Amino acid sequence: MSEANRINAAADWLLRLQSETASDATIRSWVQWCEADVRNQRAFDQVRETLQIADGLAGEVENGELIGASMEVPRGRFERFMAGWREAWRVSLQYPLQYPLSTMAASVAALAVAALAWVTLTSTGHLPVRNGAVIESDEAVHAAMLPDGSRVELASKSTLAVHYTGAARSLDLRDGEAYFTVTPNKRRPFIVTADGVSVRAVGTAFNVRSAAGRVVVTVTEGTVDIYQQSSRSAPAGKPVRAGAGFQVVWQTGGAAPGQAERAQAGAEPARVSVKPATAVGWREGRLEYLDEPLEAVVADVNRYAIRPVVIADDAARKLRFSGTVMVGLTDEWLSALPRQFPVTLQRQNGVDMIHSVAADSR
Amino acid sequence: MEDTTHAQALSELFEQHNRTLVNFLVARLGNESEAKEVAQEAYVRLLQLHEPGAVSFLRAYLFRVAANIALDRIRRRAVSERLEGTYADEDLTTTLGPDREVQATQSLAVVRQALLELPARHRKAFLLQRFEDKNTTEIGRLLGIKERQARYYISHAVTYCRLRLDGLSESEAKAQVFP
Repeated sequence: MSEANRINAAADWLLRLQSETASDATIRSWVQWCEADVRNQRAFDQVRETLQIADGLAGEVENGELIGASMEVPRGRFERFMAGWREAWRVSLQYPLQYPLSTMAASVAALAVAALAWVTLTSTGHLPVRNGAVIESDEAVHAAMLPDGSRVELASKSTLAVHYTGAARSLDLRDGEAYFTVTPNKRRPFIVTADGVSVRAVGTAFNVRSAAGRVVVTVTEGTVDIYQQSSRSAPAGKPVRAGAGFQVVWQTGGAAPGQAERAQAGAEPARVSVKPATAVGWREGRLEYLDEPLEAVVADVNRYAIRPVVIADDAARKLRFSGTVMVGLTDEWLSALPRQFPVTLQRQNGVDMIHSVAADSR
Repeated sequence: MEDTTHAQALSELFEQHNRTLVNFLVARLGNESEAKEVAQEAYVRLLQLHEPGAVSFLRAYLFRVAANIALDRIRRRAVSERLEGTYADEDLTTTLGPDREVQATQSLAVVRQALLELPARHRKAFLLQRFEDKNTTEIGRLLGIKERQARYYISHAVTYCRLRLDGLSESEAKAQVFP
């Protein structure tokens, strides 16, 4: 059997098994086919992989046709340009210090050219990303255009993975903070997941911040549903609906154990009315907080600070902070902390430690 | 005594067919981690059988039980989407590291190009099935062909994409798929 025939058979099997009405006889012959030759199983895996890659086209299909298929651009050149451009962007984002200056200069030049070219294409300055991409921002805010035309602004040192499928536009905010402006599409919900909490939108704009076991969602336009991700056995929790001007705070417990707010993990989320501009101030370099645990503020600040900041004890973690931290002035904010709170600062091995005074005297 | 032999027969059955079962469930559920869970659940249910039968019966039964659990899950998903507007975990794509981003971009470009090289009906059948939730019967009706023919179109389209991803040229791949 040729390799092509084998793959073809595997693709046919996949289609037949997808049908709910596959009979016992079908299943019996499937088991036979699958176990007759290890190459058959491999072919099946290859088919699945191919389909996963193809799923990246989800945003480009309409009425059984690829959008823009009839007006093909001179493809090779455009694709090469885009790939080179993305590479330059990626390199400059991720390895600003590991590359020799000449490479840096080359990528900066490439970026400048690309940026200029791009402005003429989008006029919004949002850089396009493909499905399957993982976007990591370094020092600055990064704006990206998702495959469906939705836009995202990623705060400093944040990571976002794009997993679009035919059924949903899924994004995974692994770390940090991002602001989303969603292109409406009722048939394909836009779902952002951060630390096990999902935000589902159809067409709207919202901000998600994930740090220190807290997920904070702020809605600036439209409405979103927020719910705890389904775990292995339990189905998804009951969603909380939030409209423009509302902020929902979810305690997830986070990755670090023994934290002050751990006891509340899994508790009902809190919904409060806010001025949305407060939550998205980071886009202009302001981090604004109202009664926020110091732990969460420090997690944010760490995305902007030069040296890592660590809170040494639970008492200090529990302190609540209200105020503004300017992104470029995190050092100043830190040195002013002891005047505002019963804490002391200590610098050790290039790390700034915050100790509570109470813990010191114990 | 009988319990241990039953458990042993089952564990052999499972060892022998687990991969086939998981592949079957992936086809149903479109999600590998969920497929593994369902396979596990089916196994547990078989362990609880009071009057286990012959191995040939057990195998058919294992797949039937697994198919039913999968069907339950698919329906539950559909209901919860309708009633509560929630979505089950979407985990269709494996996570790619940033260094594979460019590679993934290139693969996607190859697949897009491959689809454009295909005859329009093959492309259409594939896109309708994969992206617009049409089953092969509906696609047959839409394109005025038999269900079986629709299935051929789709599997040929997938095979063609795969061969192009494997580095075959347009003419080489076409010679293989449309001899």
